[in-house]
Amino acid sequence: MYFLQPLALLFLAAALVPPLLHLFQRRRPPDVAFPAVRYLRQTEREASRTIRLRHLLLLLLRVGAVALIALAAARPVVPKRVGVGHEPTALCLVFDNSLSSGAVSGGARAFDDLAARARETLQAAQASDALWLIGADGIARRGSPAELLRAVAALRPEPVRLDLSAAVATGAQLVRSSGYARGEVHVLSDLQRTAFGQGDSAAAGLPLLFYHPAAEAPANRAVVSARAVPATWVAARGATVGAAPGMSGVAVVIGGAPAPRGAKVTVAASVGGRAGPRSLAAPGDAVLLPATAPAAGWAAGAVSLEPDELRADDQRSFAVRVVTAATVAVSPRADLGRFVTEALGVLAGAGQIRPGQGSGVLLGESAPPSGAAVVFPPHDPVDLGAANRALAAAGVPWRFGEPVEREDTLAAPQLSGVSGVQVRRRYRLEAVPVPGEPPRGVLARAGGDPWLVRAGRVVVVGSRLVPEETALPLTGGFVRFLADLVNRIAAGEEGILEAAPGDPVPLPENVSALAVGGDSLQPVVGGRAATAPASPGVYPLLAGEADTVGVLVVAPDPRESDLRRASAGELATLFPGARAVVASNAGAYAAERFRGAGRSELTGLLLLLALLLLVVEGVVAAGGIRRRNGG
Amino acid sequence: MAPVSNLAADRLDLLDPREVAGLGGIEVVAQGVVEGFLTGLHRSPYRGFSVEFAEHRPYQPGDELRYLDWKVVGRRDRLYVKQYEEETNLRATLVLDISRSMGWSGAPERRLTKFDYAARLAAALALVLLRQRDATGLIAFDDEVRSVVPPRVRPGQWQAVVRSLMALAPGGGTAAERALARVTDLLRRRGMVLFVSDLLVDQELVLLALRYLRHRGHQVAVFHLMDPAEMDLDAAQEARFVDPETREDVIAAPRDLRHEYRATVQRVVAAWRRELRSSGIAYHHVTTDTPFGYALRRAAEGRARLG
Repeated sequence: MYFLQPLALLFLAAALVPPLLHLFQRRRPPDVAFPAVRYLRQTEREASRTIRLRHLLLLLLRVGAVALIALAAARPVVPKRVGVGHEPTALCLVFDNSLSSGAVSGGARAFDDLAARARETLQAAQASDALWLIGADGIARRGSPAELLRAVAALRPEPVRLDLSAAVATGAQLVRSSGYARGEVHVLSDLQRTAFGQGDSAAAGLPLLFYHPAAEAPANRAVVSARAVPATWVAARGATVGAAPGMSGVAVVIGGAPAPRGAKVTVAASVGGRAGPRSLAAPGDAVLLPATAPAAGWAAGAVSLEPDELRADDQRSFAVRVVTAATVAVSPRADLGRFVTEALGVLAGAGQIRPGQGSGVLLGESAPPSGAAVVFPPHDPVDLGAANRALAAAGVPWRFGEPVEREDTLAAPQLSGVSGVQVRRRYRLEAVPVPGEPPRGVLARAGGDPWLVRAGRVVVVGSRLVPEETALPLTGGFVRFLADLVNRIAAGEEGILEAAPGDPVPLPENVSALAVGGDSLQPVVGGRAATAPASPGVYPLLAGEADTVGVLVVAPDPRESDLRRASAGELATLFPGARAVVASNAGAYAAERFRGAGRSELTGLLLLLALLLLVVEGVVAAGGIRRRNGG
Repeated sequence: MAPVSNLAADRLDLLDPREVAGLGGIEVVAQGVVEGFLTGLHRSPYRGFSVEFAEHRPYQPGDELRYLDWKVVGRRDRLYVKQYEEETNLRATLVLDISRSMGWSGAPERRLTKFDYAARLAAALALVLLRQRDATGLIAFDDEVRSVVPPRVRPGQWQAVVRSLMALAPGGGTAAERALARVTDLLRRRGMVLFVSDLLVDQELVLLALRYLRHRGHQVAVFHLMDPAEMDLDAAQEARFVDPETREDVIAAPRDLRHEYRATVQRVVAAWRRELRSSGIAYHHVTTDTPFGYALRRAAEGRARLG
């Protein structure tokens, strides 16, 4: 039984009023002269037991009536007893086999407990029921009890996150649209607080039965983030490499339940198959593990913790691009500004680039006929036409357009340290129209216009990298951006993408395939979103059949590592109007199953009973029953 | 036949005792009541307290036909009417309880106290008896015998009784043992005893005294006076009910007890009636809202039954 208006239960306190009034009325009454006191005393002596019983009965009737009215105001709902079977019901079973369901607590895996409940429910289902099963992939599958039993048997804990709010909304919609008079939505889950989104009234009025394992959620620790810092390393024999000494390596964030004071876990990293450094960290810590660059190329790595109750988040993959330092030259006629010149000096000093002429990257205000280059707008507008002719001659389908002088913000999802930076002056980069093809190669935009574009190995920038035109040179990420520009972007590479298993991930335009394991290639369409593989790991992005232009790192959603459970009150808030019931053991869950739709509100019955009690109270108070009996 | 309303207006014995009492003192009220009562008595099948058959006489025009003796008419074929002779040797004593409880009325603005009602009833009874030439006296008592008017039939006897009644007032408690012993001592000569009381006394004691009187050859009639409020317990709210005589009290809610209380009173009245009648004593239960004429008529009925 539960109450639709539980706050009204406070009115139960009003049931104390009749006893209090009874006590209050027991004050000393006024004196009245009455000669026949002997008759009165005799009457009281003979009838005292009856009178006392009648007073008690009246008191109970009044207390009962008030209590019933208060209970009625709380609108209690109870299940209807439906005998052996149940009336045809539309049931949506949300089975949360997300990553967290693999957690072991009390010696048992949550997933196994949830699966047992799912099987029981499906075995109790009838052919006349409409059944859906929503798993961690969020897809609702309709089927007969036998079909869904097989589906449940095939489920395993998946390294994905299930948005329970969305799943409940989907289930509620399915149940409502089923045409069945009775419907229920069951959520079999460890009920992580982080699995719920915003409050949703989609299930309002529907029975919403939550089940979670009885055991407390374990104290979990997880690697919730692992990234190479910087994202591109430059190979240097026998040395720790990075953009700046002491700042390179693998940045790791440890998550999970707070540990006892001083309790730490061992964090270990490996890069390119070689074991790396170890460190001690506590949940909530962010540590930087120094790493030695492997051979040039794309390298996969992993950060791992000591095993705990949830193994799936004890290890997290990352990737790093290790390059040989690019040879960089600056066009003699170009005026790139002091900031670019100084940054190149820093990079050269750190071994990140090699100054010199030849087959390297040319930085200038005009595109060379061939080879890699980064083209900035000419400092003298008079040279704009020559710059555009040079771009055309190099086969680059982009041109410098009209100058734009206004404050815009850069947006570059795939470049670190660029997004959010202000641009004050720029040239609008205009694509040369190609019939049937949209403009391609945009790496960053300013105010919605292309600002950084790439065509082959030529990169065109919309602004000169000087403070008068953009704040980028003044940011801390400028040197790293410039290193990426010459070492990776100008080389035609895409960088490192990250996604959770099964999530949609927008792919760069030049990607044509995803290496999903061994020699298997999964064809993809560049420039469109693809579904990330279901298993965590590092997946190369290929242009053509063999040229790796980037990698996709698939890692679990860090929210899955927070096993703290949502309370019943939070669930009631999240699903306003729903008749939410939380069961934490198989018996309670079985008792509520297939009864939600058969519930009935007792308000009317309680009010009727209260009225009946008041009528009886009136009769007893008037002595009507005895008068009739006594004649 | 006169309309009932006019009849009632002419006859004080049928009016509300409170209204009748407002017409004057005991003497005036008693005379008015008795006049009305005797008028009604002539129209009733009863003859009075001490009326005895005396002789026949020939019928004369103007005689009421109901006095014709039809048996004689049948035997002699002549019309005779019956004539009655009043007893002259009856000694009647009114024994009046004037204890404190008799001074109570449940609704003083609407009803007489039991004492006021008893005094007027006693005066009327005395007047009826004296008009029949019965020697009539009065004994009033509470804890003690407070007043004694010896039975006489002389002129002025009724006034003496009335004066005595007017001088009385409800007194103390009803520790009636000594008083009743004194009363029985005073009533040595055989006669009629009319005992007027609310009977809020020791029942065994009173029964013993009355049975003793009966045993000594007295004709005894008891007028059990009660205020209607004592019958119904019509108080509205819970109260501490205090006996004005004994100061005994009991806290009760009339709403809860009213029904049981009525039953108790009915049992008490039935017990008095049963006990007294089994001893050959007439019992009349009279409430203070009963017109005096009805009370007198009940007394007359009882007298007739007792012979």
